[in-house]
Amino acid sequence: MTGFNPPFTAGIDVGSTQTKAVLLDVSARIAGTALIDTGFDIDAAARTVYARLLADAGLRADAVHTVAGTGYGRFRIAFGDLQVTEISCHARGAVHLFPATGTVLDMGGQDTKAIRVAADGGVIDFCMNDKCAAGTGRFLSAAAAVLEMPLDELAAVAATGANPVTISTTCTVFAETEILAWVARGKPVNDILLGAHQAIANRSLALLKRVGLQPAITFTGGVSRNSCMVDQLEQLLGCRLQVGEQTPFAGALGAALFARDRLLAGRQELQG
Amino acid sequence: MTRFAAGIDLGAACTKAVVIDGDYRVLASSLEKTGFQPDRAAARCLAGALEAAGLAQDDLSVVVSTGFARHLASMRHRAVTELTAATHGARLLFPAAGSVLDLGGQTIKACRFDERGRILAFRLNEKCASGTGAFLERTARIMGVGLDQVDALARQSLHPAPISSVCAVFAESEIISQLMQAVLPQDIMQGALIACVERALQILRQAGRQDELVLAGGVLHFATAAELLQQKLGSQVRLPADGMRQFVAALGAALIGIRFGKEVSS
Repeated sequence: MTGFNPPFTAGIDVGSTQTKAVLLDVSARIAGTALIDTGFDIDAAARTVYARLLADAGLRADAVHTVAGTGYGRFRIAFGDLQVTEISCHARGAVHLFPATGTVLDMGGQDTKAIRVAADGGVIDFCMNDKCAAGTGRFLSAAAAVLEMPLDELAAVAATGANPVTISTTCTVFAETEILAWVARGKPVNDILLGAHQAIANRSLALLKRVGLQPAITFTGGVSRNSCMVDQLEQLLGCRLQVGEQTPFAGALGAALFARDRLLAGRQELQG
Repeated sequence: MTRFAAGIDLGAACTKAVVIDGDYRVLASSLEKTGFQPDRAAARCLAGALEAAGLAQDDLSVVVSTGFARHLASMRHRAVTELTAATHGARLLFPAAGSVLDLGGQTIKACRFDERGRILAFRLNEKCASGTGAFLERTARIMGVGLDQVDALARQSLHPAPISSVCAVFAESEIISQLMQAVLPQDIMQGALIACVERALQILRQAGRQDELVLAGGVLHFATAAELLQQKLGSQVRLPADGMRQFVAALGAALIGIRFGKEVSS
């Protein structure tokens, strides 16, 4: 290892469903990512994902200058050096991945946020579903559970739907019942799933409109992996979304960037 | 010839049937899970009540359905809304009743009516599962507790754990996180019951309460919920007998059948 300071920083995003980690080198290039299910033990999830991140990169913990935590479990990461809200992290991470970002739509396991961002990644305004799980990834996992289908197959099956059903209930709990009722009425699973995707896309459109739609729109969070959701949102919005392999990690990336700020500030102090 | 009537309440979670005679005496009742074929559940439920009453379907002069799936009961002569049915049922059980609060599997209903049973105001939970029986079921499931053990568990609670989330989905995560922090299951269960009761009271406040207040619905099978409601609501609260709590709307539907026959449709 060279230099006085360890050259890496890490961000860990402890979400309600999955825990994500990103390793950044000093030039802000992504040096590694890791992802696991959060499960019940938040601190254990954070430790496990961090250990995996380091092992994959072939690093020891002392190679990392600062670890920043974000997500709803950020205060339970025992080894975290700083905590940043997931709003700030998603904004920063999205702008880092796609500098033209004007609005971020973050769709996670239990919450969906629309964030209007400045060119430097700062947050101008945001709104989110703070009281209700409607229109979140949870709606999709509920659909997957009642249809007994792996979550990662949902998008592919939904995309083959031709006559989507209308899911009229807002509440995720009631939607489970409604989905089962469609099954009982003999509706094909792909049409039901396509309807579920449309219901969520409609919900998040309302959030985006509330925060004020500023192109370009970057889609982050775990659900940004879901190609059917991307299609539905693009159809509703009438424009393309900025989305990629790294967008599920945008929150952890943002956290790692805040950690890197601290690393750089430390270097300036040494130099000054 | 004695006239008999049946009321069938096709609720989101359970379907209830009550058979009464021309003097409004309850002969039998029956309950089935509604499932995804409410018409079949209604048929099974009615058959069960008839068998218990020692009657055949031909003995019935009228069948009145109510509940969210009331239009799916193919044997109905007429259908009435669950608010109308609950109002009639509550007034039959408690003639001085002025309002009814019904805590069901997926719905919470509060309804206020005048001395002739005309509805003055009502409020439903509409879009949200918060505080419904579905929420309690999920809480019990997370903790691996059968529904018949809920009361016994909740009664051990000394320090009920407050549940701050309104959304039933968020409440689930909150409960899991409390379990991880070694909060006692009895305190969580009692906390969930309190949350349900608070939500129902909120809906009642919106509709406005008028004494006497009749409590109804499947959630009252949890004696703890019934006790909490009675504590919070003070005097002038009427709790139907254990076997009747879930059948107030079905009873009201049957009563409407005897009183108004099958001709008029509403």
